[in-house]
Amino acid sequence: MGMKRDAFLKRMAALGLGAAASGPGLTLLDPEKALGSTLKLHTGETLTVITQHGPPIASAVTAAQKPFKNLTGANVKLITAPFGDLYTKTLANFVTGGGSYDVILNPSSWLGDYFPYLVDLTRMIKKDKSLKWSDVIYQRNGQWAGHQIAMPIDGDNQLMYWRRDIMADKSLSAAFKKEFGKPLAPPVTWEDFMNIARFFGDGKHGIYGVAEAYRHGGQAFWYYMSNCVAWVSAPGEKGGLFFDPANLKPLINDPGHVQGLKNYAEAVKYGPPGMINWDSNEVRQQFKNGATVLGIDWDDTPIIGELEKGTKVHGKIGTALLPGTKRVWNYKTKKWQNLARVNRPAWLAFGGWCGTIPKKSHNVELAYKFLSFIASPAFSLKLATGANTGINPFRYSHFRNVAAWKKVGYPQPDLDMYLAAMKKSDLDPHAVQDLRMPGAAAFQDAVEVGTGKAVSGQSSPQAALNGVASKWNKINNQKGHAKQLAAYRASLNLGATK
Amino acid sequence: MGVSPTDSSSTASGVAKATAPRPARLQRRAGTLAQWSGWPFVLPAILLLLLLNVFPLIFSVVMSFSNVSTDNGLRLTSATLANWGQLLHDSDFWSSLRFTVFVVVLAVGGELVCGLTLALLLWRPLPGAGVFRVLFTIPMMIAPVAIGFIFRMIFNEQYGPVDSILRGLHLPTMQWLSSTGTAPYAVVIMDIWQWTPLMFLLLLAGLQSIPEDAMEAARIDGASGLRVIRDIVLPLLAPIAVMAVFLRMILAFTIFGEIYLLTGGGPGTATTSTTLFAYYQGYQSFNLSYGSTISLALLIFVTATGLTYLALTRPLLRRLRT
Amino acid sequence: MKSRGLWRYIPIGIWLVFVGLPLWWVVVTAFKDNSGIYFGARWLPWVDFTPTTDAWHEVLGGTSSVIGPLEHSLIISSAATSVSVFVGSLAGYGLARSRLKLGFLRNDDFAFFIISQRIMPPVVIVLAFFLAYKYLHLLDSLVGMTIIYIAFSIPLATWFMQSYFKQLPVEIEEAAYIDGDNRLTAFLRIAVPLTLPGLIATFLLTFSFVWNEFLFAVILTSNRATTLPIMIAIQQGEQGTNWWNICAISLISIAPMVIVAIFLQKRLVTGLLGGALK
Repeated sequence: MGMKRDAFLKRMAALGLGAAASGPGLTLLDPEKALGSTLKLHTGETLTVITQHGPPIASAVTAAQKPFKNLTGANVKLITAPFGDLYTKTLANFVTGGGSYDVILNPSSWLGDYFPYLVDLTRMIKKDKSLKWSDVIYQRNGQWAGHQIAMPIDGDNQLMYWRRDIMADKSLSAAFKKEFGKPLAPPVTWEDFMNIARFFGDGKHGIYGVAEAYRHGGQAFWYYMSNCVAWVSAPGEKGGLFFDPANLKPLINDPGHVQGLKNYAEAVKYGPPGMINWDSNEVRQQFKNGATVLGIDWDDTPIIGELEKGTKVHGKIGTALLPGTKRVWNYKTKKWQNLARVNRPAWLAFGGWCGTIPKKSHNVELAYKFLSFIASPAFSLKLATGANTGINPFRYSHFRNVAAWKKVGYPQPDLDMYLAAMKKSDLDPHAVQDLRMPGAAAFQDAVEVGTGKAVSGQSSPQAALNGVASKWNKINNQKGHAKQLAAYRASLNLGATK
Repeated sequence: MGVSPTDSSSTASGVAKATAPRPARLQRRAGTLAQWSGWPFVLPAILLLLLLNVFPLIFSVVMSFSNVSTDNGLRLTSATLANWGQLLHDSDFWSSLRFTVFVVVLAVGGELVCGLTLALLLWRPLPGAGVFRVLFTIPMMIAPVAIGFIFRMIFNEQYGPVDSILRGLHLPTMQWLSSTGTAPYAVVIMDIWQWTPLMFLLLLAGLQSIPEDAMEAARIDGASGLRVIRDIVLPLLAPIAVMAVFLRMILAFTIFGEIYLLTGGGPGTATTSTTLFAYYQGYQSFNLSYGSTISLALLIFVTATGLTYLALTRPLLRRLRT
Repeated sequence: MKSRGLWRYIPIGIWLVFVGLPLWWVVVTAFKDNSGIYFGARWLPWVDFTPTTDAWHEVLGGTSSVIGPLEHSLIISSAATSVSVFVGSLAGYGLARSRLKLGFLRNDDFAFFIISQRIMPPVVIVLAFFLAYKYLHLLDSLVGMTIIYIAFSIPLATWFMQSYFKQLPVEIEEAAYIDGDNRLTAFLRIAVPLTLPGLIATFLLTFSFVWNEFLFAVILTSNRATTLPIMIAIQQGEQGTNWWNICAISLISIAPMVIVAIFLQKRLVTGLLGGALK
């Protein structure tokens, strides 16, 4: 090699990486080859990456800029757009034949719209040993019709959080027991959840009940769906959350969804005043400031609540799957089912951010290397344990590497609960996937408007959801019913209909 | 645009003429008018507007009558009335229009009343008037999005100043932004706060251009202050006021940024203005054809309202001029 | 009115409180951080809460720096306003002074055409511009934004300037023609200087509309041509809502105009006095 050991170690440290893996071709670091020859192959080149305005996700890119440059010599230029505009900007770029971006970091739910314009990553991933593909849990979300068209860089599930200190409070627990018959404990069913919310609802015990997001354009869609998942996902049946996979009939207005909306609408009364206008960021801030006992969110709430400066809830956060129910609506039999055990499926809300490469990218090889870097075991661990990077764990190794979490200051026993809940959610064989179809944003917007009307009292839950169903039908008809049905089935990894 | 009104007094600029004697001037002007054609002066504006406003308008019309596909590049696949059909049956569109009209009527009305009051108050010399004038003008200079944020803070039920003051005075707090009943009023208050300065300035200028002799004559006749205002000032001010309201009304119909930041259109759809509705449908959901349809419907409505307003106020002004 | 009218201070005072309360809130919040906001309304620095300059650090060169957008806004607004006021003045002069004829269309019809463009809600044309700019690579560019703001501002500029020119007695220009001026030089040497207050008022009003405009900016820019209003809107959705940054940016955003308003305050009213709406 010609380089002394000290210099080699210094070089490794400067690169900021932990262990390196070997492999041919696209691998970024191959210790078997001379360092000089693998590094800085792309000096002078620039990669244009677009994603949502940060910190979530965008800060992951800014964190990667320097180490990536050290490795490859290439510059990474970051373009951001507010989340509400990202869909439109990227889609508009595609449909006008533009090559404005080399890499897009997007929610996997938009892959249905992106699909015709993306580079197929399957072969590149196969050849990339440093990626450790088998370590990646979130593979399906980046797949479309059998092709891996997106690189998973993030995991996503909505979970439930609670204040362990409040739940452990004996006097509160006694008062709760008097009113509801059982002591305060982390909710298992939605009934438990709503009871606790009702108990704390008006703040008379010094804290409010629940923190959820309701704002149009503030990611309310996923919060509403979190309220529905357990009611509409009969074990063994796919697709119950959105459409009937046999004929694309919207299921959004079936009794299970109405029940979810009833809970969602009722819960708005049990948070701090003004919660009806909260977006997801407000949920996190309020929970961090100790405003509520319960919260629903992606993993941003606990990470911010444990690690961000000024938090009032460090060391007090419990994590578990969203509540379940014993009564489930089966869309096939069109009847309520009573189950022996609580149905508590995981909900992979949002599907995880992923990295895609447009066909018109100026530098596909470099773009892939960037995605490989962001998704690499070492760097992704750094991102997953960082506060507000927006990157949730998505690899088995993320869960195994408890030391990394401890190092950033995540306290016990919260940490064990957090990792366990997330892992359980990710590995749930009955986990419910998010909607991935062309027109995703339009479907989500329709839901936010419709549920908003029910929550604000402008219409009844059933009427509101009927309106959403009719809008959904319009969208599908406009885009071509057959095409949409095929896309929906592909997103669920079902074959073509008979 | 290009609807030609039947007589010059109905045009925007021609409605309110100066009170100076007309005949001699007109003759002079007629003499000048006959001599040259001002096309080189007017053409740049007309051409720029044709290119930058009219073509996009035509494009929007075309999009609203087409199916737009985004599968393989942007294509207009077929002509269709479906967008317009959908619009007519879309209760969200109609409620957005109702809300927009609600805001226009209440806000512009409020701005007229407040602006007129302030103008009358600051018309005659008063120590410190200059300072007041500057302070009163400030709200108008703030970006609408900032105004939306500011009032979102101000009206916040949890940690905002208004409810905190109400609590301090032991008055019941209001659900300013979280109730469908009160949120529209919050928007109106915000708009009045922001745009009264415009009315104030225009009306003050109008007041200051009222000739002194008219005022003196009335006072010599023994009329009290209030009667002077009612019988002399207001009629002379009317042309200005009519046009100020027209201008403010046209702008108010397109209200968007403030609301987007204040409530995002909520709770529910209680504060979704038509432009905001078009933004969500056309832009954020990337439904270009429907977005164009909504925008055009707004355009038709605003134009109709504007023309009706001018038609209704024409006789009023003609009566006052005599 | 014979009396000094000191009673006027009362209603003026009421309005002052109405206007001043939110403004005070903005100024004070620009110096708060998380704890100054989420735990109840805080009014007075050092009494209710400890002021910090965190927001100002972030906003002037920090993570939410407004320096770039400030530059963009200045360039775009100045350029667009200058061009549209110039074009509008020309058009206003032509409409006020000359005789235009095209078939059965006359001056008033052309005036109506130009001015009625302002009735068009911006949302009607923005999607078309979005697509056109995508193809022309004008999205997110200073040039692109300037062009659309010119279209946006010409109607109002023309409307106002036409009224000012109509107010001017024709005699002075006629004297100039006799002395050998042509139309253009008469316009530039005589008419324009005489309407200077009106020109200033028009410029300021047009400038403020462009400076604060949001719809076009949010749809047609991303990163390279971000304007101040976008910078403000972006503050929603990071760590909660960055109230303090918003207030700081808002203050920065209105500073230029407040300063100008103070200096030109008398001129502004005189200018509008000239009869913008006559």
